[in-house]
Amino acid sequence: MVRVLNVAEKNDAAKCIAEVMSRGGYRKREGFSKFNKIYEFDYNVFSQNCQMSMTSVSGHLLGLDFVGQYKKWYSCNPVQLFDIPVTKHCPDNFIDIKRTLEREVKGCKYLIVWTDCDREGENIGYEVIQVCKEAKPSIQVYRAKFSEITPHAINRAIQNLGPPDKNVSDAVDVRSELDLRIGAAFTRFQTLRLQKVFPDVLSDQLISYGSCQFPTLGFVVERYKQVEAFIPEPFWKIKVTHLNDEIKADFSWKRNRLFNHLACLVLYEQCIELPIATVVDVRSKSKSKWRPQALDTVEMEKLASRKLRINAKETMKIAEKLYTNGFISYPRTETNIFPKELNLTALVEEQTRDPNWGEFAEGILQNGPNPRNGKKTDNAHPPIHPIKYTATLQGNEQKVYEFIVRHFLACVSQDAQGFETTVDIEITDEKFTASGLMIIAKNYLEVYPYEKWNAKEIPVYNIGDKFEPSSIELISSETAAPPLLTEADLIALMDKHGIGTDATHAEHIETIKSRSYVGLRPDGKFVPGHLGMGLVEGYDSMGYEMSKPNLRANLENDLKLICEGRKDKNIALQEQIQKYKQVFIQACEQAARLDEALAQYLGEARPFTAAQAPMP
Amino acid sequence: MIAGQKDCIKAWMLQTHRIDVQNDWLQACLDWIQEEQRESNTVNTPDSVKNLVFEQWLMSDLRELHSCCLPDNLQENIKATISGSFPLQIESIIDVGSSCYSQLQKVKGTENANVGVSADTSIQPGYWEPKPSKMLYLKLTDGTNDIQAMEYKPISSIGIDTVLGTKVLVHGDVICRRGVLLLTSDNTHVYGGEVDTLIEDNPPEQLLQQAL
Ligand SMILES: [Mg+2]
Repeated sequence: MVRVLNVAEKNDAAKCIAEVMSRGGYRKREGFSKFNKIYEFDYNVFSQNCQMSMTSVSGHLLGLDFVGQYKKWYSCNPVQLFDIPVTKHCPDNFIDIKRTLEREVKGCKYLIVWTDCDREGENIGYEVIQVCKEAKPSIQVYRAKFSEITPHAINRAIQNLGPPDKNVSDAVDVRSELDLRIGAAFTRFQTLRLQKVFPDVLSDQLISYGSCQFPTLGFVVERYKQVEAFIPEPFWKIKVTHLNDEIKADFSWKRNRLFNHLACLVLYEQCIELPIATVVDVRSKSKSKWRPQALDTVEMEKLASRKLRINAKETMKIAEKLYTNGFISYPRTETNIFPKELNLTALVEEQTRDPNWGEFAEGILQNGPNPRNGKKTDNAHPPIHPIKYTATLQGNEQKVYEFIVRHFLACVSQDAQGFETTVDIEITDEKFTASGLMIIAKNYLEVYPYEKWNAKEIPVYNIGDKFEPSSIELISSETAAPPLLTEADLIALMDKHGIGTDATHAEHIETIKSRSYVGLRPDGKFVPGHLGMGLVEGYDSMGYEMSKPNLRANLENDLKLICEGRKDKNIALQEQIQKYKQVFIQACEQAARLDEALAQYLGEARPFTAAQAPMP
Repeated sequence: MIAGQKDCIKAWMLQTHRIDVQNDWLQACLDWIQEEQRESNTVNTPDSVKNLVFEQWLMSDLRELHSCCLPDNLQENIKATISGSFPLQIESIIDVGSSCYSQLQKVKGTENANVGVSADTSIQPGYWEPKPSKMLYLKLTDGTNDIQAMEYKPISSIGIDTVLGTKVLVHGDVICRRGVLLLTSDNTHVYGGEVDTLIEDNPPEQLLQQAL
């Protein structure tokens, strides 16, 4: 019988795919790596019954590094790291996985790549292909494309096997080579220097630099400084209330607020001299509160962070697990439009069993699901949605699953409907407005506790009515600084400026946390640490705005072009290397500015002499 | 310069522009015009002399003219109405509808849209500073008495960038509360003009900085 080697991105995924394909009837065998099993079963593919071996890698199988002695910190001047050759190799802890692939591929005629269908997955697929082709050059390679681990999706993937996408993999190669060169050059440069300049504080500290993590840090510092620089100012406003039949209306001033006491006092006194309000307009209109859009990764991270208090990294880890267990669709997606061919009814039906939201799901089925789509698509994966019903989850896994289900049900149901009444009054030419809200149908809000819509009753008014307000007050207050960034805000900024991708936001945030560049306060707000502040100020003072997002955003854009086949991999790589190399050279020339900026936070800087530079 | 011409111009300024100029100033002004005319060897018609006088008045500092038209002690009344025509000079302008801090950032060009970015889509961008409603607050002088004024109802001919020293005519029955005139487009007419020293001494950035 013809043998086929199948390789998934993780053991969990391999197991679940094998389970789906074999309808639970696979045989398990050990490989060299005890974490990556081999699942075997018979399957009809390539128009014949084949013996399938399904195994896995653990993410990237190969790593990129500088050749030979240049891996060592003191081997060269860091600027050379922009030009020294790099090579892919298999790290020691993955050798066993590689050996399994080399052994298994020998007896096989075909290789099917089942890694995740995203950029990294495509690249990991090419690493698998490289290893397998070296062991067996004649192997025929196919790519399975799928967004969820269900019989339907797996079956469709098998029916539509095609070639892997070299462009997408190339983009990842470019990205990782740049990350390596830029990261190593700046990290070695600043670590070696600053350890000498601030030996008491930094002697053992690795001071890493990454072209994503640095702009991410930059956002935290920027907001912190905006808060610090803020100067509160007093302001005054006039507030009018009216109590009628025990229903109260709060009228707000059309002028909103004034930053001059005398001006406000004058208008207030004018009002209380003749405190009679005249109703000049009453408007009523139906108002809806929109149900949420189909869920993409960035939205999921932001909402989980804000509403569930689960950080982006943890959310992605959980979502990944829910995906490999077949509970939800692929969680890394930029798409917020449900494809027409997706059977939403079946997905809703699946949820009718739940004691909490089952009834709501039943309700949706009566009129049919009606998704609220956004405008984005990555042409690879559908929006995140539940696939299989489960009541077996615990803790945060349960919370994330429930959130995805509720968001999905809300998205395919109806907007909440209300009726808003707005009343305009005048008191001696000053205009005030109050509005009331009657909720007619909660609709999606019934299943979506993460959002609120509060009804507000006000008395009935007619145009021309005159009344004496219950109170007219002159109130004073003070402007407040903008809030510090939450994790969700930070993701919103990264997304806005194209720093990282939906797949990597969470990691960059973790990195700047683990390096102590930023800290997370108990209230969930980010503040920069001394080191983080000093680094950003130091680079900013050089004028190259390395903490600003432009340089990296330009790189991300190039990666997109490579994926789409619109830019040559090598041209993009050379352009980006040269750009960053120039910035690096200029940074080295002005390194003293870094010392100065950090000295504000870390104490006196020791002079750094060329003789201390350890390399040629 | 014949005495008749001077009286004629004084009457014209009062009738056409409702400005009562002092004799000393007018005399000096006419002498200067005559001097200019002799140097440049040109001949002014009576009409062009009138207009030159008005232009000179627009560019003069009313404080140096010691002109005076407002009643005394307006600040002492919670509410008063002044009636008549009052040519006044703008000494300073600020917008009290938004914070000095936000205006200062605008002037310095240090506004940064990132400050309004939030993950909470239910709130508007820049929610931490609600949408300002513009209201100009001015310090005016008639040359002797100082008075404050607020843009009680929108006046499109005056803005935050109106040059200092601009002359305005406040006219009709105008409400003045606690020494603050309530200006509207109906009771306020802008003549124009400027005062160099006021402009030089009060750059917008500095005005805002002081207000903070
Ligand atoms: Mg992956």
